[in-house]
Amino acid sequence: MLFNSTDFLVFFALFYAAYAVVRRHLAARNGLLLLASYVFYGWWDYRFTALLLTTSLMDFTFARAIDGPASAGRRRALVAASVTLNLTVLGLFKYLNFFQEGVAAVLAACGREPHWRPWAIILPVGVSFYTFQSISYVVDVYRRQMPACRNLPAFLAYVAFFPQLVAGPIERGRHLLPQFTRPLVITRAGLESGLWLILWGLFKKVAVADHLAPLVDLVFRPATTTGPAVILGTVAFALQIYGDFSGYTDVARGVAQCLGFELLLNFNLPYCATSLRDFWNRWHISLSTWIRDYLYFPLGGSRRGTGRTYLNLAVTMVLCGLWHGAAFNFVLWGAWHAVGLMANHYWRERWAARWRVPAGMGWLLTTGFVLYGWLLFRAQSLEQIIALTGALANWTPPTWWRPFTGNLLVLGLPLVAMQCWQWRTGRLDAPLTLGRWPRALLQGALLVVLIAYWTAEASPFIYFQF
Amino acid sequence: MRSHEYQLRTRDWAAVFAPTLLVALLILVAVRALHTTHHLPAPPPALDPETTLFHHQARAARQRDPATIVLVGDSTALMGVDARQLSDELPGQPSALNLSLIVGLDLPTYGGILHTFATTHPGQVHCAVLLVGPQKAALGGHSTDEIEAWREIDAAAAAGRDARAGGADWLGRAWLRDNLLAHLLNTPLRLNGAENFGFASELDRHLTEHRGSLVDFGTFALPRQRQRLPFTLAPGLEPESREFRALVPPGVRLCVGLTPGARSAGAPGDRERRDAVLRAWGEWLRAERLLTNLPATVPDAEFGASGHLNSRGRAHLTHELARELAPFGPSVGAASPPTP
Repeated sequence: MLFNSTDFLVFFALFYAAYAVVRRHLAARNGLLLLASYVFYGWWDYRFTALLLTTSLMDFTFARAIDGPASAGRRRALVAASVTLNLTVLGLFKYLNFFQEGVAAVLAACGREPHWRPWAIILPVGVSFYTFQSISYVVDVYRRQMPACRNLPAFLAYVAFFPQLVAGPIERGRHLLPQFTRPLVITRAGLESGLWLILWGLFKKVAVADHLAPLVDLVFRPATTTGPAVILGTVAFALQIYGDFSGYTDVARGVAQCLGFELLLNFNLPYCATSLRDFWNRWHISLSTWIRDYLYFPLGGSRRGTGRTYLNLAVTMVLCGLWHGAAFNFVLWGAWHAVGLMANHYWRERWAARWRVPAGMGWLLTTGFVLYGWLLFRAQSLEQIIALTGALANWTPPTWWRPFTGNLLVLGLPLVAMQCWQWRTGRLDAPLTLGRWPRALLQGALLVVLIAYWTAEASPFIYFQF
Repeated sequence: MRSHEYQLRTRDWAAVFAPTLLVALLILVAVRALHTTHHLPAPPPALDPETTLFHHQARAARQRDPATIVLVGDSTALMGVDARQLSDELPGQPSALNLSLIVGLDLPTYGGILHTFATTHPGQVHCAVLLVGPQKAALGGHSTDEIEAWREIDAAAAAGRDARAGGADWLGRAWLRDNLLAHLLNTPLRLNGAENFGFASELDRHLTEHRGSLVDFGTFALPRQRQRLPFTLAPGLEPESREFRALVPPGVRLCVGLTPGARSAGAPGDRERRDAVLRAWGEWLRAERLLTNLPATVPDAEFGASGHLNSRGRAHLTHELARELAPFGPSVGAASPPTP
């Protein structure tokens, strides 16, 4: 079920009414949340609810065993088994096709035909998100950073919590799980914030990202293009993916707030970053901190010398790229950011003390670097990456540059204006500081635009495929 | 254990939701009022290339225009003749307008748009040029859906309204989207032609600037299965041709031709076969002139990606057409025409 669908509006209205009914019973609330979350997930393909349930039960059991009076070796073996099983499920559904194609390509290069018929495996929506969430829970229990959950319905509801199930934020057990085991409070401030986040998030998706998509398609397709077209298309994609993904996160956080829950912040003005390190502290924060805590630090982080630090950065960022999907362009995107972070690290170690880069220059360099990264991310093949990169040398503007730029300005303006406002006030909830009627004017206008562009066939969020 | 607690009173719920809903309601009511009082702006040209073309040509047939030569036909005429170049190359530079449409429509539709222009500009048109591709002549046929789409747009243009300006649901979503917000956002083209123009507004602008003519920007690619050019005449075209003729206003001279095919698909004797087709068709149409001096085939390099002529091929065919029409004199059609 998509947030930007009428199905979801009906679903949420019914659910919210039932949620009010169960307010006196914690167990009933968790039961209702669990049922609703499985309905929400099963709406897409009910068969994969079995997968979700199986992995959740598996991690619940492993965590209980790890938290028990087992020896250190046994605990280590249990956590390794849990992580391996989770990654196997992820690998099977997400990377087997990629692996099969790779092997077939290698065989073809050797002049041989593969003797098997490749399996056509459907990627379950959100599998990367809930797998990482489960892994973090088991590892946190292993590290004694939290006790294992002993309330099965609460744990199942935590893993399947519908606002963030399919595209995050990737919640940590120690942040979200306790909210399933204690009473929550729904306040007027929470509702106001929730309503704002839902409206703004849907606006970013339905009005901005979905209208940027055809502009991006105009550039990223197998046809000859030119430098200005590539730049315009890449800027459009940067805004599209931000509008799409941060829009999803906003709706998720807003829906959760209406229920009394608090989800992690996932975006913090990412395009205001003045260094690549800063960018990764602001973009998809729940993934970048996950990778830092469960991959980069265990590999040694920056504590084992310069060479090892660079190696760790390379490994984590390439895997971060691969997390997005089994395709070479994601690997390249990860590698590109790894190179950028290495350069960033080198600069900080060797030069930053002597030569301070002005913030404007830092922003320009970071934005340019991130934009080329988005080109790698959006491209559909290596050939296209080469063609688009080569096109940057041709400065002939496309015939349609005027309407394209016009659309880009109209669609980008709300995002840029909001970021400027949030930046200047230092508050991500800046609109909530408005008086009742100015805020109503803003929210009413957003609602009208949503009404205009609401369609029966909602377009999926980009990050659903990951 | 208690699950959750609502620390809100009824008036808090109202304070959270009511102002936003009220503002939205007022905006929707205002839009409805604008529609009722006919103060909503008309929707800009939008949608796919085909519909944008239909909107443009339906509008162009009714606008004040000095054209004395009107071209009609399928997309091979739309993209095969440059109306501005044709004017420039003819003696006296009479104004030409390309009102060609697409292959999926029938001859009476081509005749209809000519008739509309001629009745909107009484006594102005001296010469009508009907051009179609060899495939259209050989196969005839048309798409009912496309004819229906054209009729709807044409009827709306005749009534001075936009085909999409009518219905909207109870929220007035279509008015918001098409009449208001569409003016802020250009509509990107999604089908064929998107790579050339990008946006419906650009396609519309190109059509206006080029007097209704289009061009294929691509490069010719040989089809996998090469077929010989079908220089035959579909019997089903006979009633359509007579209907077309009935729509040509008195005093307008009708010139008829076939656009060329790719040389790689040609065969010896193509020109003779093409001329035979033209003679038979000219009889059905009671054409004043058959354009037999147009090339039956042109080099592949003069074709674009979509199977239409590219800019070089279009310049070539337009030049040949100008030579064919030149004997009509400074005011094409005014002088005594040669007989077929």
